[in-house]
Amino acid sequence: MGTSHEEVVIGTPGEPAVRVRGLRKTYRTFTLRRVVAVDHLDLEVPAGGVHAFLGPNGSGKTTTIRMLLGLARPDAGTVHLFGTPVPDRFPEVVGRVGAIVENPRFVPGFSGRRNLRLLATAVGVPQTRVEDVLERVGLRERGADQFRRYSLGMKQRLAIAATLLKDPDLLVFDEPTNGLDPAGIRDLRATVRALADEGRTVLVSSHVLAEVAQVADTVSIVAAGRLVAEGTVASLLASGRGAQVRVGVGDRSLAARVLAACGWSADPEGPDALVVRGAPGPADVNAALVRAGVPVHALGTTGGDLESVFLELTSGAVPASATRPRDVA
Amino acid sequence: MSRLLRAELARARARPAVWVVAGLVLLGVLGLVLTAWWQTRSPSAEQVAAAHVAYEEAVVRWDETGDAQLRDCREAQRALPPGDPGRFDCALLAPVPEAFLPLRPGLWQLADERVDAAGVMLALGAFMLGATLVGAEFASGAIATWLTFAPRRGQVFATKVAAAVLVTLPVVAAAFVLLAVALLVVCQVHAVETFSPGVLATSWVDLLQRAARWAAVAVGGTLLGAGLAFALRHVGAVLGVAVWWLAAVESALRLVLPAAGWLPLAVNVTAWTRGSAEYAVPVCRPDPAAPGLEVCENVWHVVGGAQGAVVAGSLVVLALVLGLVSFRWRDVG
Ligand SMILES: Nc1ncnc2c1ncn2[C@@H]1O[C@H](COP(=O)(O)OP(=O)(O)OP(=O)(O)O)[C@@H](O)[C@H]1O
Ligand SMILES: [Mg+2]
Repeated sequence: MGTSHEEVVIGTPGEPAVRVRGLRKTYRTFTLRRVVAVDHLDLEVPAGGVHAFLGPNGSGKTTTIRMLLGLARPDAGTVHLFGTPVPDRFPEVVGRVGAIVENPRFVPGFSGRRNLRLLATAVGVPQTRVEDVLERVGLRERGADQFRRYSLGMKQRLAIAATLLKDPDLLVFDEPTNGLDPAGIRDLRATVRALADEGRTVLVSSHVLAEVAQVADTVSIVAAGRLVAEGTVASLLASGRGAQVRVGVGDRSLAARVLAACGWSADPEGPDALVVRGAPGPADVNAALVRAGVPVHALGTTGGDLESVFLELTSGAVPASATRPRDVA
Repeated sequence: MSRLLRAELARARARPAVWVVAGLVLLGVLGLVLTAWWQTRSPSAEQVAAAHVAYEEAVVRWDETGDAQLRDCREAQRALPPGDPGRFDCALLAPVPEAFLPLRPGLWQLADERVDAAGVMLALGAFMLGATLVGAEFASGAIATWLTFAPRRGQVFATKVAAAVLVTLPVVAAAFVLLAVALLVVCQVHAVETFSPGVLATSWVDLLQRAARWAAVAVGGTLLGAGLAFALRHVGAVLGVAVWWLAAVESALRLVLPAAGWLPLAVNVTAWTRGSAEYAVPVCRPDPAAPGLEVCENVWHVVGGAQGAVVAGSLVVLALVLGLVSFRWRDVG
């Protein structure tokens, strides 16, 4: 399980960093009820770049990542990292993979530095590398403090430092922005981008799209254990169902009747506004209302951004097949 | 493998719980030494005075009855064949002042009485070491991080167990060395006999062998604790099982099912360290004198040293196998 690349099986060129097919994992609850955490998931992370792995809470992101790392056994399906099947032959690629699963977990009573040194000893990395990675995440000054006394942000940074010990080709960060303040999130994004620019593949999971959308080259979105969309950020935006029109009116019930007659849906928002879906644009909404004698005192568009696409995709309102822009990737 | 083992040993050394357990064991040994100190103290002025009074009284009695006692004794001795262990010099019957002072044991007797107690402390301490070295890793979740660096679970299991044993051995050595040296010092300070010719060399060898067997028991304790911690993934759960075992198997089972008296660890460890142990099984049959009633008598079963080692060893192996299977196949994290 060395860190040198010659002792691992390197996949064929163009081989994705991660390839998951038909992955399924169920858990049994105390009442022996089956919970499907991951359901026939297909996932492909191209080598190089940042890949965002998005989904709401409980959608199976962490479970998937644990299966990528051999920590959990799938009920069905296959996982390949750089073309090597996991978990059976995971030891062959472990030197190329650095990962944080869920929360950063280290020996609480040991200093950050001691924790890293133990890990470095385990994989035969020189101890000087510990100082390098501490420096890189800005923890060198606090390296002597006990892990349990670190703030959440410092714990996240230590975890990132640990993943860098092996100089890996694939980094897997599960919710790395948890507990970070806005400045911390910005730093993390910069780190993630920099890692990708060094030629590594970074898989970042999150339940908040905005936190990773800016740095992500490609995106996979899961909901309830299934893939609902994947592709580039641009292709996802294109798959959204267009902008919504927000219109401020005096008489909402009359306006709603007028809009319904045009075949558009209108939902109240705030004290005196309606959100109109299905209309081609704000001008059409305005024209329709004015024609019917409903005064309009405000007009604008909402949605059409990634966040609303994300919400739309993961709310279960849209069947997965209808919006899956898979071939874009 | 050796990289992993080195890391595990470094981790164990840095763990405060290891030092706390080791410290508690050594404190317990010091407690044993304290009782030896107390037992070998020089007699107090009151004890000397009381002994003097008792001696004077004995001399008065000896003056009256001594001749008759000597005559009876010599007659009885003459009846014994030469070389009989019952033969002794009848002159020893005469009172001497030292006989009225509290008896002060020598080094061998002090050590003989304490090696088992020290062994029990070591075994319990070793069990705790094994349990906490493995269990804490699961409790903090650090094991999941560890497995992303060292994914071969069989190897991780083996190195953690080996590290626990390697940590236990110096604690065992320190405890026995401390016991021996401290007892020797106590004997020197209190001027009681140490390596007197009255104690046979074989007795010393027996004592050393018993200490070595206790060291093996301590290693077994570590393996048991580590195996259970791998299976249960929680130090608290391991302690729970240990308490359950103490209550159910070591205590209640003897009463409920005396025929299972070969199972408790107390019997098997005693058999292993002492060479043999016994347990009683009551056997009842109808009383010929009183119809409808039964007479019962205890039949004593002997457990030999080898049997003790096999039964206790099997329990340890069982715990290790459970731990390995659970660790290899169950999800982590
Ligand atoms: N060890 C477990 N035992 C039982 N159920 C589990 C276990 N781990 C996860 N689950 C269930 O599997 C589902 C997916 O959980 P998972 O942690 O993978 O979600 P997630 O996408 O990571 O969520 P979050 O954004 O909150 O981290 C949830 O319904 C969860 O309750
Ligand atoms: Mg999660």
